[in-house]
Amino acid sequence: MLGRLIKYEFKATARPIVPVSLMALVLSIVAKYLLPILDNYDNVICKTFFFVGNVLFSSSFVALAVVTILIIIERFRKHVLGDEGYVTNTLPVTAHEIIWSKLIVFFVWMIFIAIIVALSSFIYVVGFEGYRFERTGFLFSRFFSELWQDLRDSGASLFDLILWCIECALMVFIMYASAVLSVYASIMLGQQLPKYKAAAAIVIFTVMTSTMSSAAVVLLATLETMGNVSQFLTHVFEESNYHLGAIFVIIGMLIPAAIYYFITACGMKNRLNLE
Amino acid sequence: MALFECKGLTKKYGNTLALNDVNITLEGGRIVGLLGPNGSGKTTLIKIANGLLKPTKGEILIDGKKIGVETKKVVSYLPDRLAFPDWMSADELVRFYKDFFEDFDEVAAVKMLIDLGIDVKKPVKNLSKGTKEKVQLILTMSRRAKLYLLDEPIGGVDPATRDYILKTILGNYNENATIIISTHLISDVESILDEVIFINNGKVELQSGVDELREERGKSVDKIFREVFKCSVD
Repeated sequence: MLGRLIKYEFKATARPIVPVSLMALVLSIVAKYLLPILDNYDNVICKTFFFVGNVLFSSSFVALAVVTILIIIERFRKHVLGDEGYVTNTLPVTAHEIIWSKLIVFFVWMIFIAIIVALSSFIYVVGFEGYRFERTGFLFSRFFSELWQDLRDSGASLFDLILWCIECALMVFIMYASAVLSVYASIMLGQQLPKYKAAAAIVIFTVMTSTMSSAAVVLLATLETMGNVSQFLTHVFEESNYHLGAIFVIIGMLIPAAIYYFITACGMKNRLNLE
Repeated sequence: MALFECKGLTKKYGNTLALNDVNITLEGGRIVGLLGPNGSGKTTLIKIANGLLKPTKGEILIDGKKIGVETKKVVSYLPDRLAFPDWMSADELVRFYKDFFEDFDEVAAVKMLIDLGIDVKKPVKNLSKGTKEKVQLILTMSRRAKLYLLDEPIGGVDPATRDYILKTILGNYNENATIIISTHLISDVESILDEVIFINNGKVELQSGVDELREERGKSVDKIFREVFKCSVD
């Protein structure tokens, strides 16, 4: 059932995300190749189009970010707590499957959008000319080979590199999931005040995320003041090529994510209250 | 084992008692009218049976099981509002239902949609309100469920559509199943009901077979309803 939920979640979210993404790509090509032509003409109309075109291109990245955030909020609100919730919550699926389908789909979209932004930026900065490709390829290849050499010199192996990549990917996923789940948890808690749902959700989101951030800062500051503990941890992390450090960070990131997940899942199972 | 059981069901919204110690037992193969004025607790009871609300006290058992994933597999629900994603077309909705419900009869659904002349490729948001309600009903009644929960299926539609809805309900449900129709439009549904439950202010006032009730009181269910709820009927 999780697969089917993911399929329909992709279908529903592709409708706004894909067009805005394609718009960003097209605008990058326009900004790179058509707008400079307009800049060569010394008249008000061409200059205006040149200016507007560049603004539109820059705005397309902002539009992508805004559309994604709005979809995360609106999709949960409408699909789980709104009228569509009468269908979603009567499907033979668990609350966990519904939550995970949304997390997985939005994570995939985040990767897609990151690729689109990178591609658009690449087109705008580098373009399609052969010599520019070659130069850019050379710079990337030099960067990675120097990075690999530095890693080898520090005693790291290929296994370490693969493990770091996995650890980084996990951190990115948990960080992203935590952000999305904090929105879901805020909406679920805001739902308990029917007359003030939206306002309550915003206040709860602000308080919850501020509290979590403050708790993390206090914990880290406390560890710093405990000199022996801090030194011991640093030594242990270095000895493990920082893998233990990564695990420590992952566990730290998992705690707020787990709290938000628990609030969301409990809310969906016990306090749904669709009106 | 009864198909549908309410045991001491109570639901409070703040200080308001929406359902007050409701006890109902229903066997399979019956068409039951859940009748009451607006605000009597009909929709609350149906929502609890679908897992959309949690009761304050008591429970509902469907086919002996507590409300959850297993009961959702055997319950087909028609909400009192348009609830499907309206960006989908009718044929996409048919595929959606087929994907999630093993008991969904795709052939029956498509046939009914074609019989109605509905453009199955058009997003349903571009259809009229009455047509959308028919699509939702077709999807609900195309399941071979054990229990159908229809919340106000004929409210807010014209008389011709009401007739179509009632005809579709009768013509397509699983005969071993039970249908619970919640409505306050008694005269329209009376002819198809086997049993009635009168509910008011969250309490069950009466539960009886329709024929027994008519014989006992010598009146139609609609007239009995008006007498029982004479101060509450709008």
